[in-house]
Amino acid sequence: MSGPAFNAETGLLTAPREVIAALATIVTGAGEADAAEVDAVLAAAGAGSLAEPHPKLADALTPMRSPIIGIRLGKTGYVMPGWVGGGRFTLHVYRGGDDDQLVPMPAEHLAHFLAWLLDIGPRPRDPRPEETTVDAAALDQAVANRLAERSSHGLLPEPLDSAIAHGFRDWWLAGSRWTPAPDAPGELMLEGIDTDAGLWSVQRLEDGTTAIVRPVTPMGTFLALGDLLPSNHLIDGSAPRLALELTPVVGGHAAWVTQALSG
Amino acid sequence: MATYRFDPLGIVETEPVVLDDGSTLHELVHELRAPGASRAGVSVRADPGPEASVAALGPDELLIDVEPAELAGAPAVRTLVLVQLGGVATVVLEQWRLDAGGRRWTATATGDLALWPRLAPGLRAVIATLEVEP
Repeated sequence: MSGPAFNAETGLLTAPREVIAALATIVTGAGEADAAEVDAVLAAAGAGSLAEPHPKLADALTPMRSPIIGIRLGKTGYVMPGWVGGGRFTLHVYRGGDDDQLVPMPAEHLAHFLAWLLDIGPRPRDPRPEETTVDAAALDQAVANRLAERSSHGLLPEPLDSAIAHGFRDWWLAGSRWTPAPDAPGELMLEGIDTDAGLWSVQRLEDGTTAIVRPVTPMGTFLALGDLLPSNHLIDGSAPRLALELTPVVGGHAAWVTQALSG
Repeated sequence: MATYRFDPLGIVETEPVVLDDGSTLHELVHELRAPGASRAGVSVRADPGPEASVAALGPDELLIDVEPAELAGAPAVRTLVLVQLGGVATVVLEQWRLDAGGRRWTATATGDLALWPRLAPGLRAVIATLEVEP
């Protein structure tokens, strides 16, 4: 485990997961947490304190104090909270085995950062079915198995089954929520499965039991990630911030992964 | 001297400006311009010797996609690359590389990432009309 650290040039804070979660809880206004412990870690990292954060940490906290858009990013079975506001984007990045990180950047870097984090890049373009309708629980089970490095063979229709069973790279989810302008949507959710055979998008139907899996290109995926930052006309400009009950605060293991693996 | 032509479609300027690397840039027409970190438009470059391939990426560049394509009646390689400009803004480079008339051509549609969804269809349409002559 690494100790707490703060990069005064970038504003990146490295600290234990529970400390960053406590920081997020306090700063977003979601509730109370151990402020003394947070202050102790911030001081040890050279990042100031909750009351007087280092200017670069203050930048990182800006979107957490007044989020306009809430981001939830799932990757490799973890779901991570992020915030957009005041022209800034901050993400609580979960790191297995090491301390977590609070990663700040200009909001317009979001799509670039996600393309890097999700490893969006060139993939084969072999023909694949335009869409495959699957049982959502079977898909969850297959993905959970592969995340746990177990076999998923036979759970899904071909060629999706072989792509996941033999060429699974990762599963990810990227969602954003905002206060919608009248008649505008208020959220966007993208779910993807990355395989050696290419990227697949997942659409969950409202019946809760069916999912449609479609092949997608890296270019299309990248452009869709850009839509996580909605155009200004979709956001209610009179709302001072994203409602507290819609604001992401802490993340953790994706519940369905845990459920699928315990079944 | 190699020449090219395309239909600006009222989207980019007819007259280009010559950039430091020898490319010619046809900027967006004034009515379509918006504040940004980069000069959006279509650029074209011709280099000696045929060998159209993906160029090496710099440390601030991220390759998103590569696919075979066709442009100006020749097989081409189409790439989408993101470039971070000094940590300030992300710029998109959508490039077509092809060999024609004994030269290596690179046609690039470029613009700030924040503007890309709005700009890309028009810039691609301009590039689709490209013709090159030896």
